[in-house]
Amino acid sequence: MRKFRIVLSFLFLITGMVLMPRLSLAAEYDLKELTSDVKTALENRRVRFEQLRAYKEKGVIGENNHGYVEFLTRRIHTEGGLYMEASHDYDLEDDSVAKVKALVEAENQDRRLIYKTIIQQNNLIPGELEKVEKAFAQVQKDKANPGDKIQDADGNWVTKS
Amino acid sequence: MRKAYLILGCCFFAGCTVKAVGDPNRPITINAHVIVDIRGLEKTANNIEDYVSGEKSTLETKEATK
Repeated sequence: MRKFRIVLSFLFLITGMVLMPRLSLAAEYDLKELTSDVKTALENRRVRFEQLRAYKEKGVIGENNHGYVEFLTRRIHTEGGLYMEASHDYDLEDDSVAKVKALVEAENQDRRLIYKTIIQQNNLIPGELEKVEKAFAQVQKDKANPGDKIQDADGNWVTKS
Repeated sequence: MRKAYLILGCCFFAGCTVKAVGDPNRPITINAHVIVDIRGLEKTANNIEDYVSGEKSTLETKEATK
């Protein structure tokens, strides 16, 4: 009986030692060091924010379910029953589609760098990148304005109400 | 011997990987697979996105709070 108690105590001790750091990890993820790359990415994103906002309001771009911004193409139904993707009918004023796509690509590169830095600086395994992306996607979804295009969990693009 | 099995069993159950044991000249290394807390990540994401949107003028980091 005494032996059983010792074993049980030891089991609780080991379980506690392993679980306590996990519990205390809640809300502990952070950019622990603002490296020059991260600072640049953050500042680039701040500068880009209003431009992206304007394109979101036009429905040209949306927030996908992986934490990245996406250029949205429209599908036009043709007479032959085929769908063709068209992006030329957006009201982009003087901006070309290529310019918007470049903006989207630059934004996503900066986001990816920030996500990967969170992984590195918090000693998470690279496989956890998807979870970081999903967490950011959820926040982008929550912060989206009514009328913005957002991608739901099933991959469908919907307009936020 | 039973205790050793018990310890290894506990480590296995708790998600730990024992990398190296037994050599007194080399310390024992245990790699624990940390389960990512989505709520913690979302808090971090909110903090970053608030800074990017201009809602916050400074980014709260561990570095800044030191």
